Amino acid sequence: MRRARAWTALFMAALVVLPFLIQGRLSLSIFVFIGLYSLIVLGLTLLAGHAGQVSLGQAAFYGLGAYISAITTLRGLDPWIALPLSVGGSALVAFLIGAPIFVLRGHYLVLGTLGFNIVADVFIRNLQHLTGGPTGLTGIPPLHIGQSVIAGDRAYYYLTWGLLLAGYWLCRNLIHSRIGRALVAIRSSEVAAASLGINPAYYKGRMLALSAGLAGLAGALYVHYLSFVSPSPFAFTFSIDLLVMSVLGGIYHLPGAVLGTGILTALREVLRTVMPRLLGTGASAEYEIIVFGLLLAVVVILSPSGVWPGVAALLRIGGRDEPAKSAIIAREIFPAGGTTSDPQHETAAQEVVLEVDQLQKRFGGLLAVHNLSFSVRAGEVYAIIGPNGAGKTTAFNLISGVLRPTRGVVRLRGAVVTHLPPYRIAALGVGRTFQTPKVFGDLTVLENVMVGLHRRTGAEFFWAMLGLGRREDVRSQSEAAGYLQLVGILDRANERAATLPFGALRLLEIARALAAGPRLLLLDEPASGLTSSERAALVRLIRRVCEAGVTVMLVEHDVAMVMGVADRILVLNYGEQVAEGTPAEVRADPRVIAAYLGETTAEEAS
Amino acid sequence: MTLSQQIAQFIASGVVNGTIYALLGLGLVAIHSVTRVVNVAQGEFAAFGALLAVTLMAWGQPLWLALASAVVAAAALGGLIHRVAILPARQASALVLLIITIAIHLALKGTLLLLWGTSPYVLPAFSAGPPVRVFSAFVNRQSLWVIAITLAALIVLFLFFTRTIRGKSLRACAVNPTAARLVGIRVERMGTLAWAIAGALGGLAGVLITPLTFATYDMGLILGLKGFVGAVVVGMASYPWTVLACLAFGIVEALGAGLISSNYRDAIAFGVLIAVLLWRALAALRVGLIISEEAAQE
Repeated sequence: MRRARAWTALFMAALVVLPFLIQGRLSLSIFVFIGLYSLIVLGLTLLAGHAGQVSLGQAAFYGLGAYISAITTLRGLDPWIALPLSVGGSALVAFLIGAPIFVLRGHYLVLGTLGFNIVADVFIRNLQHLTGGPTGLTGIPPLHIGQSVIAGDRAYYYLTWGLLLAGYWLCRNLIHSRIGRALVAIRSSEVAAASLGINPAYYKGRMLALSAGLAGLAGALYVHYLSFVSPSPFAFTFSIDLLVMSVLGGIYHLPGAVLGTGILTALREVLRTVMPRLLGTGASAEYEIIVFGLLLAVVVILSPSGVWPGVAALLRIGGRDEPAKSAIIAREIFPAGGTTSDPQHETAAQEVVLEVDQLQKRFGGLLAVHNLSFSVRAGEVYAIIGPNGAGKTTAFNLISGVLRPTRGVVRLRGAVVTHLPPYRIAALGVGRTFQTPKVFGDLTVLENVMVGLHRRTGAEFFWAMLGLGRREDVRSQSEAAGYLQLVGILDRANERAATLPFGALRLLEIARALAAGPRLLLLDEPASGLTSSERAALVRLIRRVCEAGVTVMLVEHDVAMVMGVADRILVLNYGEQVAEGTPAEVRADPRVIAAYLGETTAEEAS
Repeated sequence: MTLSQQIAQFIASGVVNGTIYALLGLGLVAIHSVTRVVNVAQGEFAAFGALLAVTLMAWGQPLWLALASAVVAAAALGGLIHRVAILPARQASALVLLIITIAIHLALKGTLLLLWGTSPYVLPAFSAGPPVRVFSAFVNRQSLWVIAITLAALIVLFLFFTRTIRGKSLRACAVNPTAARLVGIRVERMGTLAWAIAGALGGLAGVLITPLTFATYDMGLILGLKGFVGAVVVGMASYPWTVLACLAFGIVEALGAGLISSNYRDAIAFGVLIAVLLWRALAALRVGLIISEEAAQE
């Protein structure tokens, strides 16, 4: 940590004295461009590394910022007012394109943004009266401070790098905030993130907007620096260059953005002098794309996290700064003798929390769930059992909004929620776990639970970027630790979640779901894969959760466990409801014995 | 020319372009369904095939041999790319695979530039003669060749997928790779085959349009992207629907460019792409398709 600070200080000092060192030997303008491009690549790195999405439209957002600033200042607007317009305009356009595309999972954004880049290029070249067409616009007024004009390489060098460092600081704060954790969670599993009330498309859309805003800022600086703008720098080929810079430096680390940009820009300068000598004077600089292509392929195949980790190892910095274990004070959750501190939980006893009416789900020719109707009352433990393929997990997916029913209605405390997306249903107080645990492997155990607290904490985007969520984070840490203590895995708080053994994964999922403050908790086969002592602990945990006022619904294969913990049981077979009642009633029901339990299993259960 | 004649003319040229996009779109679907890769370098197969055919003819090969050799070479290139660049990274995330295809696009485009330079090339039309009148539009003979050869290629492809064991294995890999592996299908080999088919279809598209337009080293990306538009309309899954979508897309593009302004041709084409993505997103929101994919993987 201290070493990282020392290197940062050294780097800053080098930046300050650089113009004086290279005076007369090298043009400073290349360093202005490294600064400008780094601003764009910073956004791209954030988008690729933290939101898991790639945009090939960054050159268009860069161009959008450039032309907004050029056109408005040429019509008399003050450049300092045009600058935020450029940032905001680019960000807004990106958000309008991105937010809907992000609803489609997978990598549609790449082609959507590439398409946008081509469309933008065509418009810039053809809207003559506005953009000046292929020849562009000249005489763009420079930035100024009072009456004195900011002009020349050195002034823009300091301005650009100053803004870059500010942008870097904002992005760094963001990725260390609750928003950053939510993004890692989304990258790891959208379904799990949504089950905690996080809307994946919203956050990815915000990240695209942020990256486009940075590109717009670079564009505005560019036009005031050169006082001239033409369409060629904003073609999609430059978007590809920007991606190469980002991947080269390393998309998972912000310093990689500056490093990759520096390497590629320098390399291009070298190639432009070397290539013509090597291939004859006729060889244009366009040949550099072969080198860039091969470089990109080699880096991606051999070292997908770019060159920054290697550099960091060389400088002996890196490693994550984790909160010291002693610093975490676990706050007690569900204090004995009372319900939870959250007043929302005080649901009147016997109130119907969940009502499922005539629910049906068809997958092609398969009727997975057929006419399912039941209701769950506040404070009870309600279990669904049935053989494999009975439709139990499908029922959970229908209730939590992961799947849409073919027919039928789900009501939460009287309100119809059938057509709400999963994150909205989660926000209404439905927590869940998954049959195959979906923990966020790249986060620590503690951070996983902190993602669960996401909706109950408030530091929003700009707040988080200014680093103002830290005090809240400390509170979140102690609350998250409390949930870990509740399920009994506090000693593993700082381990990476991916390294946990299976039983602990299940407990972590329960802790995470509870942290979101559910009124109804859906547990999908919580006991499967657990040892018998773990099962006993699980039963105690379920009882404790239930006593604290959370209604629990579970799907399970372990009949003995269900008989021991459930207040009421629903038996499903091939999507059909076979029986419903207390454990004693269900056990005595001949249809159940015939369909599912069988003589021996029934004896085992009793 | 009256407006209706003009429209007929635009539709005719749209159908021809759409056929070319369909060849590229089918290649994208073949690659995506078997190896789950969105191939940004798909159009480079067309550029490679076209430029190679030009050179082979310049070396004295007869037209048809040059065309066939170029298509075979493009198929080999496809298979080679799969072996060299995709297979070694098949465990990587979709994002990494996508970036690899961007890298392949750059490297191929650069290599084409190195070998053929920036100048445009042209192939002779496959048969000489005046344009033919189809309904109220005049269509040149090369356009009819484009449609006829593509139709033949589609029939071959259809027979391959439905009548041969290898074609069925390929479809099996697309539906469920794990199950395909369990019944003894070599999934990696099928991936190479899919890439080779995509290469051949791309190369074919390239040699078919070169008599109509010029072939340049950088013609690929835009062509490939236009094939992608058609493929993504129908969800990158169905071969026949991809063909129809690409045809419809070609017609919309030609009508738009003809009736508005040919300067805006690409803007119209990729405006359609963005509109299609937005439309699919809204449809996904309606049926809740978004998350069911991930849930179905359990």
